[in-house]
Amino acid sequence: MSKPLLGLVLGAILGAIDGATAWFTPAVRPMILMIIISSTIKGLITGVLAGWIANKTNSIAWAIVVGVAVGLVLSYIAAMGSGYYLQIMLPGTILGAIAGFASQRFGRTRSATAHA
Amino acid sequence: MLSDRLLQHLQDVAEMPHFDGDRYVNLRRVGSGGMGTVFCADDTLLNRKVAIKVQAATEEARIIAGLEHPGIVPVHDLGTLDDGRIWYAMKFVDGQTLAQFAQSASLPRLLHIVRQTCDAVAFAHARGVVHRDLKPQNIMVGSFGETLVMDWGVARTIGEDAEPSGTRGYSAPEQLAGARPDPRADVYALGRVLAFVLPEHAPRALEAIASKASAENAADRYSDASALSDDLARWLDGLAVQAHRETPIELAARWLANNRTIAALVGAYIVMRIVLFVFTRH
Repeated sequence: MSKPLLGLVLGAILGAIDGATAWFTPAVRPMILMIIISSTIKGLITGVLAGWIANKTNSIAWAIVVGVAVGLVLSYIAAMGSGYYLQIMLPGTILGAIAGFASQRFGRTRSATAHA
Repeated sequence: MLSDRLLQHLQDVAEMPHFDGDRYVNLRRVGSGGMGTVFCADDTLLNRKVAIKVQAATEEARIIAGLEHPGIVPVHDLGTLDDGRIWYAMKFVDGQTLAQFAQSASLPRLLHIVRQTCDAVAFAHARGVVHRDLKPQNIMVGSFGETLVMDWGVARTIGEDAEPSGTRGYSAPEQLAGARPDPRADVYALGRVLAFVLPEHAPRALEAIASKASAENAADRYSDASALSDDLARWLDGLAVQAHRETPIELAARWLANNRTIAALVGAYIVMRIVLFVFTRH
């Protein structure tokens, strides 16, 4: 699987799981579906960007940095106005790091074709 | 009465080969065994050091000459002395035997050397030759880190009649009993060499590989040296080996060892989730 595709799939799965953990917070349980969907989209974007960078640089460090940065920014946007900054941003950041590392470590680099 | 030292000196002088011409000079004895004596000499024609082995038959030189492989020391020249003894010149390997090298090298480096030895021996087997005297003293590690299999003095063609020979502790029981040369006898010796380089508390998978290779019954061993080399490669790559059935705990430990970063990140996520749950539930 290519790195961007792996990042996309992994980011979406991890995002969905992360969103589902909101069930343990009774105050937000009524909005669980919306939380899962938005968390999935957040993870998907984080994963595909981390995978794209992983494909460009072949550097594990850069893939993790991009995963963390994108996860942090998107989590901040998602947390705005909710009051759950810590509960949303901290896991979003770690999942960004996982998506970045995994896409670089386990993904396949798409080879470029040279034309004479 | 002659002293032992003088007797030894006289014996050395008597054994020292005398070559026609002045191509090989400054001969120094560097070793001897049942199959001949090895001298180091200067090759004045090509201006390099060579090792010269003097023995009774040409068989060994012809066998090595037919095995062109980076792990087998090449033969440069062959001839007969005035006294009828056969000699051949080969590359002089400046390095250590595996027996010496093993005292200071890391386990992965030693396993790499055993693998290179397996590859050279597998090459010989593919050409129908069985070494029959593999042991740490016959494996050289050169100054560039290369591995060379030495001393093919008792090597024979697969299946031919052969006298019992080898080194107790390294040679297969059936070989010491006089069985016809078979590649699995070398696999046994390679297993003993592997056991030699393993530390006292080696990983169980490596001990299992050494045990399988040096099984008393030839049918229980790896089918050839390449299969042994492949199993060692699997261990070096962090994969499961054929010789050992892992317990679930060993499987998990191997997975964790191969995936430390991802395991740490997932662990951090789970711990963080538990901490958040505990501290924010009210």
